[in-house]
Amino acid sequence: MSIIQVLDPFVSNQIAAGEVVERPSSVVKELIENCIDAGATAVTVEIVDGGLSSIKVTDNGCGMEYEDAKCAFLRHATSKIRTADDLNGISTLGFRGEALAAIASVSRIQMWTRPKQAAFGTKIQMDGGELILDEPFGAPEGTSITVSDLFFNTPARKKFMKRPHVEAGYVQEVMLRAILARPDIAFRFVSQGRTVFLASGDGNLENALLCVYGKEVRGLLRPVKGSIPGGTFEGFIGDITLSRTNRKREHIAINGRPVNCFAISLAVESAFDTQLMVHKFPLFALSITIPSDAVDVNVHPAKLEVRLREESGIAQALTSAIAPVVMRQENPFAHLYREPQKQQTAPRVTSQMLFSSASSAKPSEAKSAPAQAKTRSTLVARETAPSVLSTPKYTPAPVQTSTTAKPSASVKSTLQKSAPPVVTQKKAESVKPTVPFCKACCTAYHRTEKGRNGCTCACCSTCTDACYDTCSKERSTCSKRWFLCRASQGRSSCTHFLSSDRTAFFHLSDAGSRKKASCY
Amino acid sequence: MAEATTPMMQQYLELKRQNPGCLLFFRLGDFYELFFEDAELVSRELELTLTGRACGDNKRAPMCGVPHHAANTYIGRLIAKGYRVAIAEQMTDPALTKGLVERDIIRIVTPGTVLEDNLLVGDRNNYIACVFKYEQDAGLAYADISTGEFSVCIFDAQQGRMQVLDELLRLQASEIIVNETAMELFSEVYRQRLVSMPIVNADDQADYTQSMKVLCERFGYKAVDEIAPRLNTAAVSACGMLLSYLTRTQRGVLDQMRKITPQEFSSSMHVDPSTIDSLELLRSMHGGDKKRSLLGILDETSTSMGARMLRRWVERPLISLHAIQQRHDAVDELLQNEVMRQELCASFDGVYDLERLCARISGTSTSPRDLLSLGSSLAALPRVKSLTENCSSELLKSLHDEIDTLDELCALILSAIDPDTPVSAHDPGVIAAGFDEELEQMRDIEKNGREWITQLEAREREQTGIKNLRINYNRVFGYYIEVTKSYYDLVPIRYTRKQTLANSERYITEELHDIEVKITNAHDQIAQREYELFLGVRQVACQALESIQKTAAVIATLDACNALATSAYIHHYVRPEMNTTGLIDIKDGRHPIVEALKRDIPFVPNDTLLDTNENRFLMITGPNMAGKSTYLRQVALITLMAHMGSFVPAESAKISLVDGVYTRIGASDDLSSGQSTFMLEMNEVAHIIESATENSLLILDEVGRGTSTFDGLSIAWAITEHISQTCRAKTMFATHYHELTQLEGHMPGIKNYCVAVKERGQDVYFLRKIVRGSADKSFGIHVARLAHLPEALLDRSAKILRYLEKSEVNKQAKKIIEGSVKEEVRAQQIGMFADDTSSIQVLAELRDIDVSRMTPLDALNALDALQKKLKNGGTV
Repeated sequence: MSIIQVLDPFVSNQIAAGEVVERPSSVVKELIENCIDAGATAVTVEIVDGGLSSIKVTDNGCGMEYEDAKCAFLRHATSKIRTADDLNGISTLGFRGEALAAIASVSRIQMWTRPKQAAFGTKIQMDGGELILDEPFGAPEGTSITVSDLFFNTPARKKFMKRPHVEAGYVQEVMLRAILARPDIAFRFVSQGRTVFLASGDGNLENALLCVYGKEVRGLLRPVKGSIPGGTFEGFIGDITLSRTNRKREHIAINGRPVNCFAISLAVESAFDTQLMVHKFPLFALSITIPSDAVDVNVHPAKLEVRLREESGIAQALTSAIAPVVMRQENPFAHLYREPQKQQTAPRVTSQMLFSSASSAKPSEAKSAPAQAKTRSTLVARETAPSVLSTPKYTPAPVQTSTTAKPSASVKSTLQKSAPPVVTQKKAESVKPTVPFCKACCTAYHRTEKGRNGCTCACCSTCTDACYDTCSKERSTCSKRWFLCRASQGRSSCTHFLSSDRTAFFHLSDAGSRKKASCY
Repeated sequence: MAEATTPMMQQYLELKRQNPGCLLFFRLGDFYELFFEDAELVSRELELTLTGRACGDNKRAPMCGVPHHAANTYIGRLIAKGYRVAIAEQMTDPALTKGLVERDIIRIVTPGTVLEDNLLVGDRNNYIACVFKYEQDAGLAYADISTGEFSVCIFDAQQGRMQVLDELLRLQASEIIVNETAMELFSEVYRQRLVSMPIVNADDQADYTQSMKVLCERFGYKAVDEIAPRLNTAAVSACGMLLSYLTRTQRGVLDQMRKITPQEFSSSMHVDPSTIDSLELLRSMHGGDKKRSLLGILDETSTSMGARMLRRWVERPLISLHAIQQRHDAVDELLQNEVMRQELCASFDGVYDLERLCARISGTSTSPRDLLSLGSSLAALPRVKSLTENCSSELLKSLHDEIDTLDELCALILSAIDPDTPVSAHDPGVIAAGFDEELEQMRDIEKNGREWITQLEAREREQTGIKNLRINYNRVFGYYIEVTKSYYDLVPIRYTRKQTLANSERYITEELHDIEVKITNAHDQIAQREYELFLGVRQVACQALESIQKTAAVIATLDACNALATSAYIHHYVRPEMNTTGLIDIKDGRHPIVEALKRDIPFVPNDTLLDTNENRFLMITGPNMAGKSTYLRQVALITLMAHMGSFVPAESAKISLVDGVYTRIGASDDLSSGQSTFMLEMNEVAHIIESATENSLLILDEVGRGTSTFDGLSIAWAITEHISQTCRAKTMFATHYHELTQLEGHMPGIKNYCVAVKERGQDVYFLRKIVRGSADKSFGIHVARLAHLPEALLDRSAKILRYLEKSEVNKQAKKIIEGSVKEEVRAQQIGMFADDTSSIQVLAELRDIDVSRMTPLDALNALDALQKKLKNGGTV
């Protein structure tokens, strides 16, 4: 009996799967790359339970013939390269022929596919790597692969998976990078039945950035374009207000493939020079086009890291091209003093108007139209220091002063610290404040939201009290749980709120999406 | 009823007599009471306790009542059950009246005239319709008082009666009033399909002149003059009757109804109610769910007005090329400009339901919250106006121009009404601070008063040394000083005792009394002043009612266009090219509802080609469950979507203008109305053949089932021939009768299509792709196998099928075609020569002549004889 034995392909598949298929997000990444290589213009990704229950990727690419469909899931089977020379000039995203085999071996797969111009398609069903079903099937052009019960036959790996919403977050990251790398593809990302991203696929990178990051980046993106040794690049550089304490907002795509390239990251960051605070990284999205033999993608199994041939030359070119775009800000600290957008103030009218035609409209004293309270409800407390410098008539000021207080373990101390300034502030105001005040501690409510019963709830941040109904000022009965927040200082002098179950910190602006604060 | 009833009872009976057919809510103090039969009915329906009350002459009248502040809920429940409620209020203050308090009906609430929010659905209108029959004509007028809409329908002369009934079904009116002669229009069968039963309204007899007068009074001479020529007598009377009914039940104030809108029946595409149901335009077929219908897919509106407008657009597709293209341009522009679209969505969020707000503001019981909603809606308008500033499409440009931001009114309302205003106008706190000087002074006095009280309290405490002396307020006694038992001895003489309790006693003093009077006075004055101001603001708002309504219509249109653009973005629709050449060419068309809702199986797109020549009639055969019905419906839906201004689910589409879409899909027995499936189908087909024109689109799914095979086949055959030759409408005809596929080539315009199927051994795979050609099998047995019929049964049926297939039907089919063709030729020939037996004899003789054995002279003679025969008509 020999001690060393060749493993059968089934087992070796599972081992390889360990490298390529780490978690649902890697499955999604591999499948998306196949879609893109198939020339799709619309890719839809639907996940359930973060991808652990099911992942469905549909595209309208070139599809596969019956014979091809059957051997797609074999190890080392690929349509992307034929000879070793091809490795030198890889123009497709996938080429190793490993992904589908690996995925199939640790899940239940159902695929239907139909090539263009064919009358009908094929349906393939596999269970843990074994072919169960293959039959003709009426399908639209393109391919759709559904991966269910991931890691059902490797319980050890399954135990290592994080909670579904965490895995969903990883998948979302993958989708985000894919959307920014290929703005010409209409991606749609659906998680638990809710559409998270819906990109238009019109080729406009700015629209893609807006789709992914939302309204907060509107108007804060500066286009940049230029040439580098061997190729060209173009993209958008975000304002320094959009910077974060990690590199998650740096997006680099080389020939349409999202990659991490330390050299390029450094190059762009150095273009910011002293504008950027220490330990903070900017938001940018760059798309670099260079001939495929100038970059080596075969470095990392998941193709995340790449090596560039002309590294230093490219870095220099980037820095010098981007620097002028960044330097256009006059005052580097302007963002700290950013005035909140002027609210539309309706002119004050008195009862004179009712009884005579001549209306003596008294100008308002910075009193915003009360109805606007609906849209402008209590503002973001992110800029803490600035509010002190801003106009004193600005009503949410009490909010700011309370949150600049150092986070302390006990609530009472914050209460005491904040109470005095608030009280005086209140007396100074001659007009009724538009922000409702908490009955218990007299600090302003932070955020108004729709409660579960259709009421309007507001949360008091300092006394960790639950919601109050803004109409009756009574404690709300709908008790939206996550609002039980406690404010504390974040690392980047933003304000964090601790959720009631003490599991995570949120930024107030991310409250709606429950995104964890990344700068924690 | 005995004569010795109490005066109150007499009052009740009098009011009841004036309003038969209504449940009379009689206000008695804090309650609304009902008596006699009303009480019994209501206590049964609403599960209230039935009590009694003496009504004089030692009789006891059954009585049932509800508290007045909860009346609305109960009234709502009664309305939902279809009753009418008359509300009799106390006209004078009972505390000040000697004798009997005057009572009068202030309002009659009927299902079609509700104004309360909780009884109305946001995205639908609540119509009350009136049908008037005068001799042979029928007229229809309908109104929705919650939005101020008043419309009268204009029909063709001949088809008027049918169209009235169709339109009524489409409206789904919650209340229908008719005159006596009109009742006969409503057959038993028809009544089943209505939402509410028609009621004969004998009170408002409306003749032509009277109606005209009433109309002119309300809408002005000019407006009435414009439309009067187009209305027949019945229509005018219908308007008049409806208007008088509304005036009577709402007791006068109907400010929000400002204009009368004529609805041309022929200005919108003809879509009859059964088509609306079978294509699932507004509701799904199973369950009536809006979400699973076309309207559910398209409805991405942010305001209720927009939702109602979109519903109207779906119900009435356009037929004017120009109008359709205008809408397409607008939707196109919004689709390209994603930022504008999202910003519009966001700004519409702040706009409340302006149309219904108008109705409430002009009514009697306006709430300050309504005014506040109006104000905040108007505040959102400037943003909308600035967003649509640079639009290039005609429709958007004209909408932009028509937006009236009503800045003054908005500023007035927002400055005047406090954001935390209470619901009722009579409660304090309605007017915002800083609006009115007088009010501020009075409020100061009140505030000061309270401070005085606090100071007084402190002073008294000091002076008397009573530590827990308190000053409280109470509705019964007013302000008082409360002192607990332990300090009784310290109470000074100037305290007058007012009330004793177990542990404390309550006193007042002169000073306290003065302050109290001042505060109460201030309180009253404040209440009065606030109410005055509130009424003033409301008055200003009422004056601007017409502009508000116009703006509301503009916002509704913008919102509807936005919704169409958003749904086009989400579901990847493309712009259809409209033409008038009769060509419908769809590439990769999809069914909008199925593709959006049925996500587990991928949707296979299909092409469609229909024109006025070679591809007029598409004969589609194939197995069940293979997508035939979906294919038929998707063509109809795509055509309708193009006509209502929306983009369509396809890769590309050329749609020609169609004047009506007629469908015959779905099977259901309507046994309750005494009609079998087949009868219903034949009814529908009859209706379709009668109304269809060359420019219509017909969708017929399996006509001829429900009866024996040969009967059905012959009927289907004849229908095919008729439509393709006489009617010449574009048709898609799905059938299981494969014999009909042989008509292609023999009759112009017919093309065969079938569903692609792949067989592999015993398995059959439906590919759901429509291809040219004809199916020769229906795979019924295969479908039966999928449904798990027993194997033995299936084997036997396969054998029987093979036997039947060998039989003559197919050959006969050929013969029929050839036979019919030959018959035609023969008929033509015979027609050419003669039409009586003698000619036939002559021909027979001619046929029998043996030319080869005749001499020329004989031949000449025979010819002469034959000719004589023909000329003389056969007497030789």
